[in-house]
Amino acid sequence: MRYLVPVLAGRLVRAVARLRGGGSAYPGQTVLKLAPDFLTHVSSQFERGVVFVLGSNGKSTTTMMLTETLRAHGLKVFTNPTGANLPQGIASAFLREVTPFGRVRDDIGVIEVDEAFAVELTKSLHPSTVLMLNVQVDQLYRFFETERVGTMMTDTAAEATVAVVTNRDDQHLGPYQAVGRQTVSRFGASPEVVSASPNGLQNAHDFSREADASLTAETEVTALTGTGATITVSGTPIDVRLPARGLHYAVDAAAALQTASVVLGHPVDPAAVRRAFESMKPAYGRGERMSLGADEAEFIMFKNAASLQLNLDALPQGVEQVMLAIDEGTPDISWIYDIDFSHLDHVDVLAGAKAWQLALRLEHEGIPVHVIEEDISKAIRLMRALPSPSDNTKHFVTNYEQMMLARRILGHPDLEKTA
Amino acid sequence: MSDDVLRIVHLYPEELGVSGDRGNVTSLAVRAHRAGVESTVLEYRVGDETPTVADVVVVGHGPLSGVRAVAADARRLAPALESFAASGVPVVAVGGGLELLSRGVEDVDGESVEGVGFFDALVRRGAPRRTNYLQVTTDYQGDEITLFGFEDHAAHLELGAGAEPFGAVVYGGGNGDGREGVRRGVSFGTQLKGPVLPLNPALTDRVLRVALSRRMISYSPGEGHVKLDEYAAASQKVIADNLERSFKAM
Ligand SMILES: [Zn+2]
Repeated sequence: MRYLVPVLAGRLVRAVARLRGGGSAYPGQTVLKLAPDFLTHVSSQFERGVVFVLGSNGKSTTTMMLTETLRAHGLKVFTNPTGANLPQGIASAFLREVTPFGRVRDDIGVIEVDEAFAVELTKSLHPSTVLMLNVQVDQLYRFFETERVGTMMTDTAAEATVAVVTNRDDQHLGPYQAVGRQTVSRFGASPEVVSASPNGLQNAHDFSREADASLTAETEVTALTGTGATITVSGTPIDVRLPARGLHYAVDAAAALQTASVVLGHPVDPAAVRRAFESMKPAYGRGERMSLGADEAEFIMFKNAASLQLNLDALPQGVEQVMLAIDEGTPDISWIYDIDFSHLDHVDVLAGAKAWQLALRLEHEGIPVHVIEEDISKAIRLMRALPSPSDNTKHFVTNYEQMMLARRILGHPDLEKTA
Repeated sequence: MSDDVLRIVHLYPEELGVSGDRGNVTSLAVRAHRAGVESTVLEYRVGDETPTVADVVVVGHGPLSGVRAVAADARRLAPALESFAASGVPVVAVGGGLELLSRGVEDVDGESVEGVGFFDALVRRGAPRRTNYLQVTTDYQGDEITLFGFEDHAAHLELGAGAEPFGAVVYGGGNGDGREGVRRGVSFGTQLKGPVLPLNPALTDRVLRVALSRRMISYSPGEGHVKLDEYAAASQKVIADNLERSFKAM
């Protein structure tokens, strides 16, 4: 009975927030205030434990891949919605799932966690397995030193009670050693696949450490073809369809399949994997499509240099119509000078307060910009007014804040976001 | 014609290149190109042969681990840098690059990194972390100009008794005492990121004039620079309008 009042109170808050068209950290906040041990109470009921998904980039996509793969193997999986990766957001997500008495019916929780809160969350969620994806330079601004971000992840991994899955090709995370009785296994991309990618893997260099060539990966990306990839799991090649183009999605798939194998206790079943990936939709902000007049807008969100580069590299060759938008939500954008924009032969509209800095960058590269319009709603109107491109797709490449504004303008309010 | 080439040396592009520091090199090369001067870029990495010719040397920003990783190699470069300075070649150092070329970095835990000693200044880490826009004035190679950029560091810079700052802080933290960076002749170190040269064409033109006049190559911006300057001015204005905005480190 202890959880009845907190759960109902949280749900009431959620219903009200929904009516107002807003989101979503409040319900979680409410339930945590009334029942501080709510997270532990719920998570301890998962018979197959809790998996944490950590990383600078690709958490949401990987969480989705892992969830769908486990479901295809017959498990009932709880997961938090994209980006709801802070404590209140996770509590809000639990709130939707539990019975009024605080019971869950799922076998396992697959939870994407913000690295800054990950160590703290191990105390309430007690993860059995921790998956570490990558450490990328973007976080430099948030945490000053990439090593510190790497350490936050490895400190979290050390709390895993059963298993750790880590990225062989990441100099911070690859060398992770088992703590206590946990097992450690790895995923990666074969050297041939990495060297065929125009701008590599975009992981942060760890300058205090030489790459350790002796590390092996149980699961590897062994081929990449447009929107498909071959992931070799313990020697068995599995062809999957990726939810969007790009090497990073293939590496995310390898991470998901290795983690699924660890959770299941045996290598994943190729037929189940293919089924899971066949039906996967792009995650929020990763190729999501919305209608825009007679055409469709395809949204790609970037958080940092690495994700912007990987997303630009994955755009179709000769992309016809594209808007880039970035504002003060991304404070220091010095790194735009490290981005290879050569994939674009022009940009139709630049939006957001930092449009001028982007224009300056593109002018140095000799890439023409047709219009600069700081105001995102006017910028969207300009994109809408352009004639229909041959593939009826207008591409929007934006930072998080501009994406949220754009979604709202296009009538896609956002319900479960916590940030 | 090949004599009229601007020779840019870029030190440690990976370790000290996390703040878009290639942008400083790009800006020099693009502005020179649009004024009719071609350039070459020599990227110098740990263990490479010491560069013997340069018209301008650029070194960018990186975390302390990056500075530490190249420090021993960089100390080997000290005589080369001294001889560049003696012949009037400007050295432009940003963030971690400034720290590297200083006398050294004293970390909070007492762990220190010995610098190159090119600039007479000492970096004391452990100051409150700053992540904000930075506005600076400088009279480097001419009348006073205003520069804009971004600073992201947790250090104070103590200048040696005879050392001159690069500029004065109008808004932001800089060295911690109202001064910003350090200057030595035509060379300077600064915390201005952005990167500083594309964002501040007036400064870039001064660096280019110093670098090229030594070689008797004339430099004057023209038609091809109009858009660059217009976009830089608009970018500066947005920064000026947002100076008070403080960016949390999350
Ligand atoms: Zn177009």
